[in-house]
Amino acid sequence: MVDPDKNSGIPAILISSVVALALSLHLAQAYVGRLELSDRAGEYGRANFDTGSTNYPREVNDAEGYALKLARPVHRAGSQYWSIDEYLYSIVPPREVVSVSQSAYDRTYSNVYRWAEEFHPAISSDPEVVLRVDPDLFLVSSSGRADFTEILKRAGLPVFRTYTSFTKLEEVRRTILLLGYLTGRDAEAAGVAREFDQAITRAQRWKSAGAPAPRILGYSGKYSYGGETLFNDVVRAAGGINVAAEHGVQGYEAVNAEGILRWNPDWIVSGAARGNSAAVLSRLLEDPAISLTTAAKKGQVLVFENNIFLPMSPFTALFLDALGEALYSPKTEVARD
Amino acid sequence: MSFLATVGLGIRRAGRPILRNVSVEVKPGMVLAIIGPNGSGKSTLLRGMAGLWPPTEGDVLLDGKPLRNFRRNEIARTITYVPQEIRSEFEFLVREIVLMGRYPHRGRFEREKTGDLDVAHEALKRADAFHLADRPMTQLSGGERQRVLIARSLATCAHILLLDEPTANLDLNHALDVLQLCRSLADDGCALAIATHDLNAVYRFVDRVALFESGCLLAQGKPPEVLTPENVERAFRVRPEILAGVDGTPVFLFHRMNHTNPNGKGTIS
Amino acid sequence: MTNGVRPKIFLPVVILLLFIASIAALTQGSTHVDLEVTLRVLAAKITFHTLSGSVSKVDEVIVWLIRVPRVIVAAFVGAGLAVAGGLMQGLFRNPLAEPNIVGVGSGAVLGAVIVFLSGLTVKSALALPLAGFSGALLALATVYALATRGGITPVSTLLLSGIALAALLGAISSLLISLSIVNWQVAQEIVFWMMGGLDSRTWTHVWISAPFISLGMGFSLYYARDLDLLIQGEETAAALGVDVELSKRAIIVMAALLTGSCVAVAGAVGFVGLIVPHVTRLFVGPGHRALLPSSALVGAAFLIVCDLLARTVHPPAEIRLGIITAAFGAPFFIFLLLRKFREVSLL
Repeated sequence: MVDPDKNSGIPAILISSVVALALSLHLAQAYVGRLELSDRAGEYGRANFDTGSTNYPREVNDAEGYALKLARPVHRAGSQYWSIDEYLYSIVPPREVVSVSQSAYDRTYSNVYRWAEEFHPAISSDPEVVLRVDPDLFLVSSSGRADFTEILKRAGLPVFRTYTSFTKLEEVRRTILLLGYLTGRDAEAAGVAREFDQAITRAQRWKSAGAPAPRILGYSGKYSYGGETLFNDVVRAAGGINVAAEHGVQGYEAVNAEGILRWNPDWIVSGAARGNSAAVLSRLLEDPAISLTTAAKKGQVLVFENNIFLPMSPFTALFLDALGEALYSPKTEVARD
Repeated sequence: MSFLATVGLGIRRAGRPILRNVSVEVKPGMVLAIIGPNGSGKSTLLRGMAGLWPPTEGDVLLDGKPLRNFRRNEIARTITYVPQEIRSEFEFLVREIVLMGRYPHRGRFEREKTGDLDVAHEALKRADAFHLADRPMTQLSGGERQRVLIARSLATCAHILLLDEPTANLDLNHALDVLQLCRSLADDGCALAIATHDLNAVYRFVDRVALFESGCLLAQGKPPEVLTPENVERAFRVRPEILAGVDGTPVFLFHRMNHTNPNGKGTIS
Repeated sequence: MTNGVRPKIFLPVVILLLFIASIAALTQGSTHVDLEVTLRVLAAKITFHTLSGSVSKVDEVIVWLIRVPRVIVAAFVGAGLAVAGGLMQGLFRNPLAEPNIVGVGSGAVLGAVIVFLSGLTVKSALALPLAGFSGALLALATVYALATRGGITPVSTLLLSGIALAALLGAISSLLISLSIVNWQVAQEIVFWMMGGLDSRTWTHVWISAPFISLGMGFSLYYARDLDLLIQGEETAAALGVDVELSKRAIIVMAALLTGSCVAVAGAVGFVGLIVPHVTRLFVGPGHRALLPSSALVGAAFLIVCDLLARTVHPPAEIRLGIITAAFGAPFFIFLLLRKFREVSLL
């Protein structure tokens, strides 16, 4: 018999406290998890990473701390992530790239789609497909799911988790060398790294000494690009000031019309899918807030196609060149290919 | 044989008292009618007597011992309670419904034994529902469903039956059948308590009457003692006219009450 | 209609279908493996023999490490969701109830979303299922606390609390996703996961889910008879000796356990818990001692078939599992509606 008026049973307050406690633990765990993963970035490849060395066997620690041993140069490389695809195609001969992400084939923003279409690597979305393709080395991104990599590791495939959330040009450069080391293409990687350095130097030389630093706002898809982003480092290399970082934005943050007006940048940089730049530009200029900024009034709103706008790979060099030229060359052209 | 009694029973729900100081009893061979207007506490009393709602004052005694001293299963084997029916969309067969009455007698995983099936068949026959055995409940009429529920309560082999408005949705002939069934069950030694609105039935089939008003027992005793015109008028707010039936049994006719508006603004008839 | 006769034919037929579906699912995948090779691998693994050299290592890995766990998880999840659905339909006395009616599935989804965003899914294959499962249990505790007063949980209050909580948790999940949508790859993964899917299931997932699902199903059998009686009305059940509050509590917990485990390893797969018990009931009747085990078998076969379709309808792309089950679910609803109309002779 149960008495409905008697207050027996677990009180609601207790249950709610347990729930609140568990939820906060979850969130705390989430926060800690995020911190841990970004700390790892600094350590990757540091241990036995010796460029210029041609010795085998080689051993490198990946972004998970997992030590990968390589007995010989790699001739079948696979990638699970769009930026890693571009690294691979820059460093190894294209026919040695045996699997890529779906994005490599995407004409709207891939820099390597021509190679993908010519050499037809498999698409790495399925563990079965990757296993069939049998790469010597399979690279996954910092955000690749653990169950996917677990299957591959259990099957004996060499899997390397590459740090891909770059915020510094230096990290891109190191990754070029790292991948050269991993694949045994050290010389090629060194060459790519040199070209990358040259692009950075070129960008730095664009700006004449004494000229005022252009105030640049990166703005794409309603998000601004603040400090701790690769965009920030590119702007710095090009001698500009990142307006969003100036105002304390870290990472990617949504910004609204008021914010943009208040910041009043001299330049606005945005990205668009290939072939869509003009449309994106006109939409930006139609925006009432943006149209009142110095950038819009002086015709200094730049729209770059997505394969150039921050590819997070060696092709970032394209962005450095394009941005430098747009900022400092005498004519002001608003849309670039 | 068992008897069930309430002693000064009071029940509160959500802080409000619904029954106050009720002392009634049912004994083997007896049919007790619990009557009163809606909201007078009839169903609550039955629930209290069945042990479903605990007493806030007083007690319910089974064979002299408080109900709470019994195990749930023991109570289920001795007292059976048939509430007003809940319709469900699930197509249980009549046979399955009646077999549920055997639940208090079986272990959790035991299959029905032949003895159980026999009891169920007997119960169905007694309730005149045997021909419905293989039909789904959802296809039966209100009256047929009621008979199946009674069959189920018979299948529990409990000797104390508490029925909440068993004739409510029945055709006249089926209502009479049910009341006759109750009478014969009592004559066989069961103790029955029936909550009902049917005052005419009360006279013909029932031994004792308990009349309720707002949760209190207004009168208790044999039908002529309780169903006086004054009591009926007070409890039901109707003016009864008592006629004599063919065999001398009193028959009630009810008329609306003449009453003046409390503010003296005229009569309404 | 005599409900008792059909189970004798029904059960063997379902078991046969389950067997055929499993074999079919094992032989299909994004790459080709011969039927003979598949069977050879299975035979060797089951009898603990080493494989002869005629079967390549890759084939062995593909069959045993990728396909077999996937089919097993599909079977368990299908069975678990079907039984959870049956329990909810009985508890709420409504043949249209489904497992997420008390918000447990939404809790699992929220747990998963949090873990996706924190990056923990990258570090461990266990993070996602565990988070989903704990989210489900937390949701259950919350709903139960909201709906219980003085030891009694009225079913109607439970329903309302469940709906409210499901809405709230869904809103929180959407909020979290929208706040971090700039990280589009993670957002994409979350959304895909939420549509349900059995991609990359490993033996780890089998070990995580199978014990809980089996436990849940076993326990639900224990309360099968009580459920039959509860459907007749809580007072009737109490009068027949059922401990009503205890049974309700146990049933809700079992359903939550089952739903949580299933969502944890397969994402939010809808309609299984709704369709399977409903259809099974048409064949074996509403008595839960027959209904629950039969639903489990039908659910297992159903989800294996759905997963097979998900993989083979548009190769090499995989369609999300939730979409396939919805593709069955929507016409099913229409069918039910038409049947209802015909009964009430509106058509």
